[in-house]
Amino acid sequence: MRDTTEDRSYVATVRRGLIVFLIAAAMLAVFNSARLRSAVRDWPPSAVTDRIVLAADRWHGWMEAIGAAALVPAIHDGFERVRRLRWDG
Amino acid sequence: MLFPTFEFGLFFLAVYVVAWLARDRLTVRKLFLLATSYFFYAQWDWRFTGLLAFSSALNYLGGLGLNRFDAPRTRKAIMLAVVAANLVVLGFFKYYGFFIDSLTDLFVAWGIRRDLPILEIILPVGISFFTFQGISYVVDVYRGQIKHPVSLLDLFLFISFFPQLVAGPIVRAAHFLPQLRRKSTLDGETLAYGLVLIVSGLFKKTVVAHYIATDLVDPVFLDPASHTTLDLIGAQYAYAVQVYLDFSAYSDIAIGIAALLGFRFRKNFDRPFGSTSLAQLWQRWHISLSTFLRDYLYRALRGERRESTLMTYRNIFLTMLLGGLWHGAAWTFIIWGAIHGLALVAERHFKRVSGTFRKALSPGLGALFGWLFAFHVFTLAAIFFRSPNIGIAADYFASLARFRPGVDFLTPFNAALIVACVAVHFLPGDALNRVAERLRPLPLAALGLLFGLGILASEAIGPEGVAPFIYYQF
Repeated sequence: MRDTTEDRSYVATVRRGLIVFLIAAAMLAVFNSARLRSAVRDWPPSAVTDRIVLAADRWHGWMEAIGAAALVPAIHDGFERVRRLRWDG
Repeated sequence: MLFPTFEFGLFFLAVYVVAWLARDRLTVRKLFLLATSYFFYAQWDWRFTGLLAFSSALNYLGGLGLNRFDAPRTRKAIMLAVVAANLVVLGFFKYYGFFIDSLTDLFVAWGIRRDLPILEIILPVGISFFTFQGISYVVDVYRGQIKHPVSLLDLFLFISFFPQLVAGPIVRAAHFLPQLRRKSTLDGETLAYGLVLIVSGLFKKTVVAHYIATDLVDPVFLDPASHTTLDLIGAQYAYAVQVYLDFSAYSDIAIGIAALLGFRFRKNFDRPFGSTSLAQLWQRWHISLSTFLRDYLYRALRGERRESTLMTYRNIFLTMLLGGLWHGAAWTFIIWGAIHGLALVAERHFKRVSGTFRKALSPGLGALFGWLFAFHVFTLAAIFFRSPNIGIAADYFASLARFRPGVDFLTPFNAALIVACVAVHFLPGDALNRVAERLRPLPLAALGLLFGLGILASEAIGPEGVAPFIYYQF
Protein backbone atom coordinates (compact mmCIF):
# COMPACT_ATOMS: atom_id res chain seq x y z
CA MET A 1 0.00 0.00 0.00
CA ARG A 2 2.77 2.40 1.05
CA ASP A 3 4.77 1.48 -2.02
CA THR A 4 1.85 2.29 -4.29
CA THR A 5 1.40 5.73 -2.71
CA GLU A 6 5.13 6.39 -2.99
CA ASP A 7 5.06 5.27 -6.63
CA ARG A 8 2.16 7.57 -7.44
CA SER A 9 3.96 10.45 -5.76
CA TYR A 10 7.25 9.97 -7.66
CA VAL A 11 5.44 9.53 -10.97
CA ALA A 12 3.63 12.82 -10.45
CA THR A 13 6.89 14.60 -9.57
CA VAL A 14 8.76 13.14 -12.54
CA ARG A 15 5.91 14.21 -14.83
CA ARG A 16 6.00 17.66 -13.23
CA GLY A 17 9.73 17.85 -13.93
CA LEU A 18 9.22 16.87 -17.55
CA ILE A 19 6.58 19.56 -18.05
CA VAL A 20 8.89 22.14 -16.45
CA PHE A 21 11.64 21.19 -18.94
CA LEU A 22 9.23 21.38 -21.86
CA ILE A 23 7.95 24.82 -20.83
CA ALA A 24 11.54 26.04 -20.47
CA ALA A 25 12.46 24.51 -23.85
CA ALA A 26 9.47 26.20 -25.48
CA MET A 27 10.46 29.56 -23.97
CA LEU A 28 14.00 29.17 -25.26
CA ALA A 29 12.77 28.13 -28.69
CA VAL A 30 10.54 31.21 -28.88
CA PHE A 31 12.77 33.88 -27.38
CA ASN A 32 16.19 32.48 -28.20
CA SER A 33 15.63 31.12 -31.69
CA ALA A 34 18.87 32.69 -32.95
CA ARG A 35 20.93 30.59 -30.52
CA LEU A 36 18.93 27.50 -31.47
CA ARG A 37 19.71 28.16 -35.11
CA SER A 38 23.43 28.63 -34.53
CA ALA A 39 23.58 25.49 -32.36
CA VAL A 40 22.12 23.23 -35.04
CA ARG A 41 24.34 24.81 -37.70
CA ASP A 42 27.34 23.46 -35.78
CA TRP A 43 26.13 19.87 -36.03
CA PRO A 44 28.00 17.49 -38.38
CA PRO A 45 26.64 17.85 -41.93
CA SER A 46 24.16 15.22 -43.10
CA ALA A 47 20.84 15.07 -44.89
CA VAL A 48 19.01 15.10 -41.53
CA THR A 49 21.06 18.05 -40.26
CA ASP A 50 20.27 19.97 -43.45
CA ARG A 51 16.56 19.52 -42.80
CA ILE A 52 16.89 20.53 -39.17
CA VAL A 53 18.91 23.62 -40.14
CA LEU A 54 16.25 24.57 -42.68
CA ALA A 55 13.52 24.13 -40.07
CA ALA A 56 15.51 26.17 -37.51
CA ASP A 57 16.02 28.96 -40.08
CA ARG A 58 12.32 29.02 -40.86
CA TRP A 59 11.42 28.99 -37.15
CA HIS A 60 13.80 31.87 -36.45
CA GLY A 61 12.23 33.79 -39.34
CA TRP A 62 8.80 33.39 -37.75
CA MET A 63 10.07 34.47 -34.34
CA GLU A 64 11.63 37.55 -35.92
CA ALA A 65 8.39 38.31 -37.69
CA ILE A 66 6.36 38.25 -34.47
CA GLY A 67 9.04 40.17 -32.55
CA ALA A 68 9.88 37.40 -30.03
CA ALA A 69 13.46 37.08 -31.28
CA ALA A 70 14.14 40.71 -30.40
CA LEU A 71 13.88 40.15 -26.63
CA VAL A 72 17.26 38.46 -26.05
CA PRO A 73 19.27 41.02 -28.09
CA ALA A 74 17.46 43.84 -26.24
CA ILE A 75 18.39 42.36 -22.85
CA HIS A 76 21.94 41.80 -24.04
CA ASP A 77 22.27 45.41 -25.24
CA GLY A 78 21.00 46.72 -21.91
CA PHE A 79 23.46 44.53 -20.08
CA GLU A 80 26.31 45.65 -22.35
CA ARG A 81 25.64 49.28 -21.42
CA VAL A 82 26.14 48.42 -17.75
CA ARG A 83 29.19 46.36 -18.53
CA ARG A 84 30.83 49.19 -20.46
CA LEU A 85 30.45 51.73 -17.64
CA ARG A 86 33.75 53.29 -16.55
CA TRP A 87 34.69 55.10 -13.34
CA ASP A 88 34.91 58.40 -15.23
CA GLY A 89 31.41 58.00 -16.69
CA MET B 1 29.66 17.90 -24.38
CA LEU B 2 29.53 20.82 -21.95
CA PHE B 3 26.66 21.22 -19.50
CA PRO B 4 25.55 24.70 -20.65
CA THR B 5 24.89 23.70 -24.28
CA PHE B 6 21.89 22.92 -26.43
CA GLU B 7 23.27 19.43 -27.11
CA PHE B 8 23.52 18.62 -23.41
CA GLY B 9 19.96 19.87 -22.90
CA LEU B 10 18.68 17.37 -25.49
CA PHE B 11 20.87 14.60 -24.08
CA PHE B 12 19.64 15.19 -20.53
CA LEU B 13 15.99 15.36 -21.56
CA ALA B 14 16.29 11.93 -23.20
CA VAL B 15 18.16 10.47 -20.22
CA TYR B 16 15.60 11.87 -17.77
CA VAL B 17 12.66 10.34 -19.61
CA VAL B 18 14.17 6.89 -20.22
CA ALA B 19 15.83 6.62 -16.78
CA TRP B 20 12.49 7.24 -15.04
CA LEU B 21 10.57 4.95 -17.41
CA ALA B 22 13.04 2.21 -16.44
CA ARG B 23 12.86 3.07 -12.74
CA ASP B 24 11.28 -0.24 -11.67
CA ARG B 25 13.78 -2.39 -13.57
CA LEU B 26 16.95 -1.67 -11.64
CA THR B 27 19.40 -3.52 -13.89
CA VAL B 28 17.98 -2.05 -17.08
CA ARG B 29 18.10 1.43 -15.56
CA LYS B 30 21.71 1.01 -14.47
CA LEU B 31 22.72 -0.40 -17.86
CA PHE B 32 21.06 2.58 -19.52
CA LEU B 33 22.80 5.09 -17.23
CA LEU B 34 26.12 3.32 -17.81
CA ALA B 35 25.68 3.44 -21.60
CA THR B 36 24.73 7.13 -21.52
CA SER B 37 27.69 7.90 -19.25
CA TYR B 38 30.10 6.26 -21.69
CA PHE B 39 28.39 8.09 -24.57
CA PHE B 40 28.83 11.37 -22.66
CA TYR B 41 32.53 10.65 -22.05
CA ALA B 42 33.08 9.55 -25.66
CA GLN B 43 32.06 13.03 -26.84
CA TRP B 44 35.54 14.24 -25.79
CA ASP B 45 37.57 11.34 -27.14
CA TRP B 46 36.05 7.89 -27.58
CA ARG B 47 39.48 6.22 -27.21
CA PHE B 48 39.60 7.10 -23.52
CA THR B 49 36.43 5.14 -22.78
CA GLY B 50 38.82 2.16 -22.81
CA LEU B 51 40.87 3.80 -20.08
CA LEU B 52 37.72 4.47 -18.06
CA ALA B 53 36.70 0.81 -18.42
CA PHE B 54 40.22 -0.33 -17.51
CA SER B 55 40.23 1.83 -14.38
CA SER B 56 36.82 0.47 -13.36
CA ALA B 57 37.84 -3.16 -14.01
CA LEU B 58 41.08 -2.72 -12.06
CA ASN B 59 39.26 -1.44 -8.99
CA TYR B 60 36.54 -4.05 -9.30
CA LEU B 61 39.16 -6.82 -9.30
CA GLY B 62 40.87 -5.16 -6.34
CA GLY B 63 37.57 -5.20 -4.43
CA LEU B 64 37.02 -8.87 -5.32
CA GLY B 65 40.49 -9.73 -4.07
CA LEU B 66 39.94 -7.85 -0.81
CA ASN B 67 36.65 -9.65 -0.21
CA ARG B 68 38.20 -13.03 -0.96
CA PHE B 69 41.14 -12.90 1.47
CA ASP B 70 41.05 -12.44 5.23
CA ALA B 71 44.75 -12.31 6.12
CA PRO B 72 45.57 -8.66 7.01
CA ARG B 73 48.93 -8.71 5.24
CA THR B 74 47.45 -10.10 2.02
CA ARG B 75 44.61 -7.59 2.11
CA LYS B 76 47.00 -4.72 2.70
CA ALA B 77 49.22 -5.91 -0.17
CA ILE B 78 46.19 -6.06 -2.53
CA MET B 79 45.00 -2.62 -1.49
CA LEU B 80 48.46 -1.09 -1.92
CA ALA B 81 48.96 -2.78 -5.31
CA VAL B 82 45.62 -1.49 -6.67
CA VAL B 83 46.17 2.04 -5.31
CA ALA B 84 49.68 2.01 -6.81
CA ALA B 85 48.32 0.81 -10.18
CA ASN B 86 45.76 3.65 -10.13
CA LEU B 87 48.48 6.17 -9.35
CA VAL B 88 50.79 4.80 -12.07
CA VAL B 89 48.05 5.29 -14.69
CA LEU B 90 47.29 8.78 -13.37
CA GLY B 91 50.99 9.60 -13.14
CA PHE B 92 51.68 8.48 -16.69
CA PHE B 93 48.96 10.58 -18.29
CA LYS B 94 49.22 13.56 -16.01
CA TYR B 95 52.84 13.83 -14.92
CA TYR B 96 55.02 12.12 -17.54
CA GLY B 97 55.62 15.31 -19.55
CA PHE B 98 56.29 17.34 -16.41
CA PHE B 99 58.74 14.72 -15.12
CA ILE B 100 60.66 14.54 -18.41
CA ASP B 101 60.78 18.35 -18.77
CA SER B 102 62.02 18.77 -15.20
CA LEU B 103 64.63 16.03 -15.64
CA THR B 104 65.83 17.59 -18.90
CA ASP B 105 66.16 21.00 -17.16
CA LEU B 106 68.11 19.34 -14.35
CA PHE B 107 70.49 17.61 -16.79
CA VAL B 108 71.04 20.88 -18.67
CA ALA B 109 71.77 22.65 -15.37
CA TRP B 110 74.38 19.99 -14.56
CA GLY B 111 75.87 20.20 -18.05
CA ILE B 112 74.80 16.66 -19.01
CA ARG B 113 73.45 15.95 -22.51
CA ARG B 114 70.74 13.30 -22.59
CA ASP B 115 68.00 12.66 -25.14
CA LEU B 116 65.04 11.68 -23.01
CA PRO B 117 62.03 9.97 -24.59
CA ILE B 118 59.46 12.64 -25.37
CA LEU B 119 55.86 11.56 -25.84
CA GLU B 120 52.96 13.80 -26.71
CA ILE B 121 50.43 12.56 -24.19
CA ILE B 122 46.85 13.80 -24.27
CA LEU B 123 45.42 14.23 -20.79
CA PRO B 124 42.14 12.29 -20.60
CA VAL B 125 39.47 14.62 -19.30
CA GLY B 126 38.44 13.89 -15.71
CA ILE B 127 41.19 11.29 -15.12
CA SER B 128 41.99 12.62 -11.63
CA PHE B 129 38.36 12.45 -10.61
CA PHE B 130 37.62 8.91 -11.73
CA THR B 131 41.00 7.68 -10.45
CA PHE B 132 40.28 9.12 -7.00
CA GLN B 133 36.83 7.54 -6.98
CA GLY B 134 38.41 4.19 -7.80
CA ILE B 135 40.94 4.62 -4.99
CA SER B 136 38.18 5.59 -2.55
CA TYR B 137 36.32 2.37 -3.43
CA VAL B 138 39.32 0.08 -2.90
CA VAL B 139 40.38 1.75 0.36
CA ASP B 140 36.79 1.76 1.67
CA VAL B 141 36.51 -1.99 0.95
CA TYR B 142 39.88 -2.52 2.66
CA ARG B 143 38.75 -0.54 5.71
CA GLY B 144 35.49 -2.48 5.88
CA GLN B 145 33.34 0.56 5.13
CA ILE B 146 31.68 -1.23 2.19
CA LYS B 147 30.12 -4.38 3.58
CA HIS B 148 28.04 -5.63 0.64
CA PRO B 149 29.66 -7.29 -2.37
CA VAL B 150 29.56 -4.83 -5.26
CA SER B 151 28.49 -5.97 -8.72
CA LEU B 152 30.54 -5.21 -11.81
CA LEU B 153 27.70 -3.08 -13.18
CA ASP B 154 27.38 -1.02 -9.99
CA LEU B 155 31.09 -0.35 -9.84
CA PHE B 156 31.33 0.64 -13.51
CA LEU B 157 28.38 3.01 -13.06
CA PHE B 158 29.80 4.46 -9.84
CA ILE B 159 33.06 5.37 -11.58
CA SER B 160 31.54 6.64 -14.83
CA PHE B 161 28.22 8.23 -13.79
CA PHE B 162 28.09 11.22 -16.14
CA PRO B 163 27.05 14.13 -13.86
CA GLN B 164 30.25 13.92 -11.82
CA LEU B 165 32.51 12.09 -14.28
CA VAL B 166 34.69 14.84 -15.73
CA ALA B 167 34.98 17.44 -12.97
CA GLY B 168 33.62 15.99 -9.77
CA PRO B 169 32.44 16.23 -7.10
CA ILE B 170 34.48 13.17 -6.06
CA VAL B 171 31.71 10.85 -4.98
CA ARG B 172 32.45 8.30 -2.25
CA ALA B 173 31.71 4.66 -2.97
CA ALA B 174 30.24 4.14 0.51
CA HIS B 175 27.77 6.98 -0.15
CA PHE B 176 26.83 6.28 -3.78
CA LEU B 177 26.77 2.48 -4.10
CA PRO B 178 23.88 1.95 -1.63
CA GLN B 179 21.81 4.33 -3.81
CA LEU B 180 22.22 1.91 -6.72
CA ARG B 181 20.68 -0.93 -4.75
CA ARG B 182 17.31 0.73 -4.21
CA LYS B 183 14.70 2.21 -6.49
CA SER B 184 15.26 5.91 -7.11
CA THR B 185 12.62 8.38 -6.15
CA LEU B 186 11.93 12.04 -6.71
CA ASP B 187 9.94 14.34 -4.45
CA GLY B 188 8.79 17.90 -5.03
CA GLU B 189 11.47 19.42 -2.85
CA THR B 190 14.31 17.55 -4.60
CA LEU B 191 12.89 18.54 -7.98
CA ALA B 192 12.78 22.23 -7.00
CA TYR B 193 16.25 22.02 -5.42
CA GLY B 194 17.70 20.39 -8.56
CA LEU B 195 16.18 23.09 -10.79
CA VAL B 196 17.49 25.88 -8.54
CA LEU B 197 20.99 24.37 -8.57
CA ILE B 198 20.99 24.06 -12.37
CA VAL B 199 19.84 27.66 -12.92
CA SER B 200 22.27 29.06 -10.34
CA GLY B 201 25.14 27.00 -11.79
CA LEU B 202 24.39 28.14 -15.35
CA PHE B 203 24.28 31.78 -14.28
CA LYS B 204 27.49 31.54 -12.28
CA LYS B 205 29.39 29.89 -15.12
CA THR B 206 28.04 31.45 -18.29
CA VAL B 207 27.58 34.98 -17.00
CA VAL B 208 29.57 35.93 -13.91
CA ALA B 209 32.66 33.71 -14.26
CA HIS B 210 32.80 34.41 -17.98
CA TYR B 211 32.81 38.21 -17.76
CA ILE B 212 35.18 38.34 -14.80
CA ALA B 213 37.56 36.15 -16.78
CA THR B 214 37.41 37.83 -20.17
CA ASP B 215 37.15 41.45 -18.98
CA LEU B 216 39.68 41.41 -16.15
CA VAL B 217 41.56 38.22 -15.29
CA ASP B 218 42.70 37.09 -18.75
CA PRO B 219 44.05 40.45 -19.99
CA VAL B 220 45.86 41.22 -16.72
CA PHE B 221 47.46 37.78 -16.37
CA LEU B 222 48.58 37.87 -20.00
CA ASP B 223 51.21 40.48 -19.16
CA PRO B 224 51.07 41.55 -15.50
CA ALA B 225 54.04 43.93 -15.82
CA SER B 226 52.10 46.27 -18.11
CA HIS B 227 49.12 46.82 -15.80
CA THR B 228 48.23 49.28 -13.08
CA THR B 229 48.27 48.42 -9.38
CA LEU B 230 44.49 48.60 -9.06
CA ASP B 231 44.02 46.28 -12.04
CA LEU B 232 46.50 43.81 -10.55
CA ILE B 233 44.78 43.85 -7.16
CA GLY B 234 41.37 43.53 -8.82
CA ALA B 235 42.51 40.62 -11.01
CA GLN B 236 44.02 38.86 -7.99
CA TYR B 237 40.66 38.90 -6.19
CA ALA B 238 38.76 38.31 -9.40
CA TYR B 239 40.63 35.12 -10.25
CA ALA B 240 39.89 33.52 -6.88
CA VAL B 241 36.23 34.45 -7.37
CA GLN B 242 36.30 33.15 -10.96
CA VAL B 243 37.69 29.74 -9.92
CA TYR B 244 35.06 29.52 -7.21
CA LEU B 245 32.23 30.43 -9.58
CA ASP B 246 33.43 28.18 -12.37
CA PHE B 247 34.00 25.12 -10.25
CA SER B 248 31.08 25.52 -7.87
CA ALA B 249 28.87 26.08 -10.94
CA TYR B 250 29.94 22.71 -12.32
CA SER B 251 29.34 21.08 -8.93
CA ASP B 252 25.91 22.75 -8.61
CA ILE B 253 24.82 21.56 -12.05
CA ALA B 254 26.22 18.05 -11.42
CA ILE B 255 24.45 17.79 -8.05
CA GLY B 256 21.25 19.20 -9.58
CA ILE B 257 21.28 16.76 -12.51
CA ALA B 258 22.00 13.81 -10.24
CA ALA B 259 19.13 14.91 -7.95
CA LEU B 260 16.73 15.02 -10.91
CA LEU B 261 17.73 11.44 -11.72
CA GLY B 262 17.09 10.39 -8.12
CA PHE B 263 20.66 10.42 -6.75
CA ARG B 264 21.98 12.48 -3.88
CA PHE B 265 25.47 13.99 -3.97
CA ARG B 266 26.90 15.90 -1.06
CA LYS B 267 27.53 19.63 -1.18
CA ASN B 268 30.95 20.46 -2.70
CA PHE B 269 31.21 24.15 -1.71
CA ASP B 270 29.82 25.85 1.35
CA ARG B 271 30.47 29.61 1.19
CA PRO B 272 34.26 29.30 1.45
CA PHE B 273 34.93 33.05 1.21
CA GLY B 274 32.96 33.61 4.42
CA SER B 275 35.51 31.52 6.37
CA THR B 276 37.25 33.08 9.34
CA SER B 277 40.30 30.81 9.13
CA LEU B 278 42.22 29.08 6.37
CA ALA B 279 41.48 25.69 7.91
CA GLN B 280 37.77 26.50 7.78
CA LEU B 281 38.09 27.72 4.19
CA TRP B 282 39.53 24.33 3.21
CA GLN B 283 36.67 22.57 4.97
CA ARG B 284 34.27 24.54 2.79
CA TRP B 285 36.14 24.56 -0.55
CA HIS B 286 35.95 21.58 -2.93
CA ILE B 287 34.76 19.58 0.07
CA SER B 288 34.87 16.27 -1.77
CA LEU B 289 38.61 16.73 -2.51
CA SER B 290 39.46 18.15 0.93
CA THR B 291 37.77 15.23 2.68
CA PHE B 292 39.36 12.79 0.21
CA LEU B 293 42.82 14.17 1.02
CA ARG B 294 42.01 14.08 4.76
CA ASP B 295 40.66 10.52 4.76
CA TYR B 296 42.97 8.85 2.27
CA LEU B 297 46.21 10.85 2.33
CA TYR B 298 46.46 12.64 5.68
CA ARG B 299 45.19 9.55 7.54
CA ALA B 300 47.68 7.37 5.67
CA LEU B 301 50.53 9.74 6.55
CA ARG B 302 49.48 9.88 10.18
CA GLY B 303 48.88 6.14 10.60
CA GLU B 304 47.15 4.77 13.66
CA ARG B 305 49.55 6.25 16.18
CA ARG B 306 49.14 9.45 18.14
CA GLU B 307 51.27 12.04 16.40
CA SER B 308 53.49 14.78 17.78
CA THR B 309 52.83 18.45 16.97
CA LEU B 310 55.77 18.47 14.59
CA MET B 311 54.47 15.40 12.78
CA THR B 312 51.02 17.01 12.50
CA TYR B 313 52.60 20.05 10.87
CA ARG B 314 54.63 17.88 8.52
CA ASN B 315 51.54 15.90 7.50
CA ILE B 316 49.44 19.01 6.92
CA PHE B 317 52.19 20.48 4.77
CA LEU B 318 52.69 17.29 2.75
CA THR B 319 48.94 16.86 2.23
CA MET B 320 48.62 20.37 0.80
CA LEU B 321 51.79 19.97 -1.28
CA LEU B 322 50.42 16.79 -2.85
CA GLY B 323 47.02 18.48 -3.18
CA GLY B 324 48.81 21.15 -5.23
CA LEU B 325 50.45 18.52 -7.42
CA TRP B 326 47.05 16.87 -7.94
CA HIS B 327 45.82 20.08 -9.53
CA GLY B 328 48.40 19.98 -12.24
CA ALA B 329 51.84 18.93 -13.36
CA ALA B 330 53.61 22.28 -12.96
CA TRP B 331 55.82 24.01 -10.42
CA THR B 332 53.22 26.76 -10.05
CA PHE B 333 50.74 24.23 -8.59
CA ILE B 334 53.40 22.79 -6.29
CA ILE B 335 54.23 26.28 -4.99
CA TRP B 336 50.51 26.97 -4.59
CA GLY B 337 50.15 23.81 -2.49
CA ALA B 338 53.27 24.69 -0.47
CA ILE B 339 51.93 28.18 0.32
CA HIS B 340 48.68 26.70 1.60
CA GLY B 341 50.56 24.04 3.57
CA LEU B 342 52.81 26.62 5.23
CA ALA B 343 49.94 29.01 5.92
CA LEU B 344 47.83 26.25 7.48
CA VAL B 345 50.75 25.22 9.70
CA ALA B 346 51.40 28.87 10.65
CA GLU B 347 47.71 29.41 11.46
CA ARG B 348 47.54 26.25 13.56
CA HIS B 349 50.75 27.12 15.40
CA PHE B 350 49.54 30.65 16.04
CA LYS B 351 46.33 29.31 17.54
CA ARG B 352 48.38 27.03 19.81
CA VAL B 353 50.69 29.70 21.16
CA SER B 354 48.48 32.78 21.17
CA GLY B 355 45.82 31.84 23.69
CA THR B 356 46.12 34.98 25.85
CA PHE B 357 46.40 37.29 22.86
CA ARG B 358 43.33 35.82 21.21
CA LYS B 359 41.35 36.01 24.44
CA ALA B 360 42.16 39.73 24.60
CA LEU B 361 40.60 40.27 21.18
CA SER B 362 36.85 40.61 20.86
CA PRO B 363 35.32 37.64 18.93
CA GLY B 364 34.32 39.97 16.11
CA LEU B 365 37.82 41.37 15.72
CA GLY B 366 39.32 37.89 15.88
CA ALA B 367 36.94 36.72 13.14
CA LEU B 368 37.82 39.76 11.02
CA PHE B 369 41.58 39.10 11.32
CA GLY B 370 40.97 35.42 10.57
CA TRP B 371 38.89 36.27 7.50
CA LEU B 372 41.47 38.77 6.21
CA PHE B 373 44.25 36.22 6.65
CA ALA B 374 42.37 33.32 5.02
CA PHE B 375 40.98 35.36 2.12
CA HIS B 376 44.30 36.99 1.29
CA VAL B 377 46.38 33.83 1.55
CA PHE B 378 43.89 32.22 -0.81
CA THR B 379 43.76 35.03 -3.35
CA LEU B 380 47.53 35.68 -3.32
CA ALA B 381 48.34 31.97 -3.71
CA ALA B 382 45.84 31.88 -6.58
CA ILE B 383 48.28 34.04 -8.57
CA PHE B 384 50.51 30.95 -8.82
CA PHE B 385 47.48 28.80 -9.63
CA ARG B 386 46.53 31.02 -12.57
CA SER B 387 49.99 31.86 -13.92
CA PRO B 388 51.16 29.64 -16.78
CA ASN B 389 54.70 29.64 -15.34
CA ILE B 390 56.72 30.92 -12.40
CA GLY B 391 58.05 33.84 -14.49
CA ILE B 392 54.57 35.31 -14.97
CA ALA B 393 53.77 34.82 -11.27
CA ALA B 394 57.03 36.54 -10.30
CA ASP B 395 56.19 39.42 -12.68
CA TYR B 396 52.79 39.69 -11.04
CA PHE B 397 54.20 39.99 -7.52
CA ALA B 398 56.94 42.38 -8.67
CA SER B 399 54.33 44.58 -10.38
CA LEU B 400 52.12 44.52 -7.28
CA ALA B 401 55.06 45.77 -5.23
CA ARG B 402 55.58 48.93 -7.32
CA PHE B 403 52.77 51.43 -7.48
CA ARG B 404 51.41 52.33 -10.87
CA PRO B 405 48.42 54.68 -10.94
CA GLY B 406 45.27 54.40 -13.04
CA VAL B 407 42.70 51.74 -13.77
CA ASP B 408 41.92 50.16 -17.14
CA PHE B 409 40.26 46.79 -16.60
CA LEU B 410 38.77 46.95 -13.11
CA THR B 411 35.50 48.53 -14.24
CA PRO B 412 32.58 49.35 -11.90
CA PHE B 413 30.81 46.28 -13.28
CA ASN B 414 33.71 43.94 -12.50
CA ALA B 415 34.26 45.46 -9.06
CA ALA B 416 30.55 45.07 -8.24
CA LEU B 417 30.62 41.43 -9.38
CA ILE B 418 33.62 40.64 -7.18
CA VAL B 419 32.12 42.35 -4.11
CA ALA B 420 28.72 40.71 -4.66
CA CYS B 421 30.25 37.27 -5.14
CA VAL B 422 32.18 37.53 -1.87
CA ALA B 423 29.22 39.08 -0.04
CA VAL B 424 26.87 36.17 -0.83
CA HIS B 425 29.21 33.92 1.16
CA PHE B 426 27.93 35.61 4.31
CA LEU B 427 24.33 34.57 3.60
CA PRO B 428 22.90 31.57 5.49
CA GLY B 429 24.24 28.24 4.21
CA ASP B 430 20.81 26.92 3.30
CA ALA B 431 19.79 29.90 1.13
CA LEU B 432 19.30 27.75 -1.99
CA ASN B 433 17.28 25.20 -0.03
CA ARG B 434 15.02 28.00 1.18
CA VAL B 435 14.51 29.21 -2.39
CA ALA B 436 13.66 25.64 -3.41
CA GLU B 437 11.18 25.32 -0.52
CA ARG B 438 9.40 28.47 -1.70
CA LEU B 439 9.28 27.24 -5.29
CA ARG B 440 7.94 23.77 -4.46
CA PRO B 441 4.26 24.71 -3.96
CA LEU B 442 4.12 26.92 -7.07
CA PRO B 443 1.77 25.89 -9.87
CA LEU B 444 3.44 23.86 -12.56
CA ALA B 445 3.27 26.58 -15.21
CA ALA B 446 4.83 29.14 -12.88
CA LEU B 447 7.69 26.77 -12.02
CA GLY B 448 8.27 26.07 -15.71
CA LEU B 449 8.23 29.79 -16.55
CA LEU B 450 10.67 30.58 -13.75
CA PHE B 451 13.04 27.80 -14.81
CA GLY B 452 12.81 28.97 -18.42
CA LEU B 453 13.38 32.60 -17.39
CA GLY B 454 16.43 31.59 -15.36
CA ILE B 455 18.01 29.84 -18.33
CA LEU B 456 16.92 32.59 -20.70
CA ALA B 457 18.55 35.23 -18.48
CA SER B 458 21.89 33.37 -18.64
CA GLU B 459 21.50 32.97 -22.39
CA ALA B 460 20.56 36.61 -22.95
CA ILE B 461 23.29 38.12 -20.80
CA GLY B 462 26.02 35.56 -21.42
CA PRO B 463 28.21 35.37 -24.51
CA GLU B 464 27.66 33.07 -27.46
CA GLY B 465 29.57 29.84 -26.86
CA VAL B 466 30.85 28.56 -23.55
CA ALA B 467 34.44 28.17 -22.38
CA PRO B 468 35.28 24.77 -20.83
CA PHE B 469 35.17 24.55 -17.06
CA ILE B 470 38.54 25.24 -15.40
CA TYR B 471 38.53 21.93 -13.52
CA TYR B 472 38.28 19.86 -16.73
CA GLN B 473 42.06 20.13 -17.01
CA PHE B 474 42.57 18.49 -13.63
